[in-house]
Amino acid sequence: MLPKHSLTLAARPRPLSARALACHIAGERMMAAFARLQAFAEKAGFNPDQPRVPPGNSDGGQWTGSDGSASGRQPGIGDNGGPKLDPEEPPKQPPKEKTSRIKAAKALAKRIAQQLLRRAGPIGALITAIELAENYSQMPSVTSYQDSPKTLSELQQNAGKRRPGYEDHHIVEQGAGISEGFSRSQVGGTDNVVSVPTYKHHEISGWYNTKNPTFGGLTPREYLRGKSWEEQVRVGHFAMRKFGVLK
Amino acid sequence: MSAANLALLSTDALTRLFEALCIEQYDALERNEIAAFNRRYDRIQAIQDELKSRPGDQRRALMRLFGHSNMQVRLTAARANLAVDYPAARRELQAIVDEKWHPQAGDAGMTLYFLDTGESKPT
Repeated sequence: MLPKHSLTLAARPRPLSARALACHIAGERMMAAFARLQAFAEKAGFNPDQPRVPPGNSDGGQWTGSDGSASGRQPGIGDNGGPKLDPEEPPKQPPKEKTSRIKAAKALAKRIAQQLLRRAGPIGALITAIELAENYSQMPSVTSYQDSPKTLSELQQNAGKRRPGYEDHHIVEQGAGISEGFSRSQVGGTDNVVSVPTYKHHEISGWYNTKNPTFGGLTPREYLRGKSWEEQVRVGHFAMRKFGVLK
Repeated sequence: MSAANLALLSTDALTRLFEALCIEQYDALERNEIAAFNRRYDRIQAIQDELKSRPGDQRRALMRLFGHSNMQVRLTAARANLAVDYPAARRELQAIVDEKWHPQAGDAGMTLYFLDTGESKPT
């Protein structure tokens, strides 16, 4: 009988091929993360070929310019005067004012989410998170923003647990629901309360409370006034789906 | 700015004002300043009304803001053009959904949903 490793790829058992594919994907992600790290290094002006002061001098080994002077930064993206390729980088130090701090942290959360979508994959996003977010008190909310959508029962299970980075969200809004005559037990019931990432909660609540041309300039909350419980649940579920909370 | 004053502005100037107000709305949303967002909504609506009243429905000028780097500008320009060029405006809304840059992506998704159910009609 032939040893297993001499089998052709097509003849190998299926689990082996699946593992090979997983290895390949992990390798690709790692290479993307390296590319990103390199970009960071270049942005900081790092050049491994830059001349150094010869050994024996008091500052031996330190970087120097080709003419012996202190060297300048390497040209980078945007130095040619072209348009910015990306939205503004969030500040590396959190701003002092609370609303600005939240705004900056949200920008960071979105940047990481975008990287997860299209750039260096999870490793690159993690590196950015570690580099940029360790100073933010909003870190749990930045992290929870990266959650993938969950099933309704998963979201319901965690309601009321007061986890950092998460808030309870009422599918039929709390204030609006009670003022419309729905019972407190219905509005506060386990079916109606879910645990969602804090910033996602801000986004969904913001959508409900901002004027919207889709409803002739009414807010969705105003538009839903007087609608049945079922109708409000339907819109509530759909909003959670569209905002990436519910599967 | 009153409607009479808006009428004095060129279409280009109105487009720039529209863009600036949408950017302010984006910042207001990020800060959870809902009242500030809603105040600007009325001003943006007034600009759209003025553009609509001009010969040939000049809301079309806002289409040049499609693909703008600020997602709130893109979203508002797309919705303003649903009654002017429905296929192009829908494409822009779908592009915003696909970008997954929230809350604008979620809002764009809800707009498409309510258009599809017939509950919302472009005007």
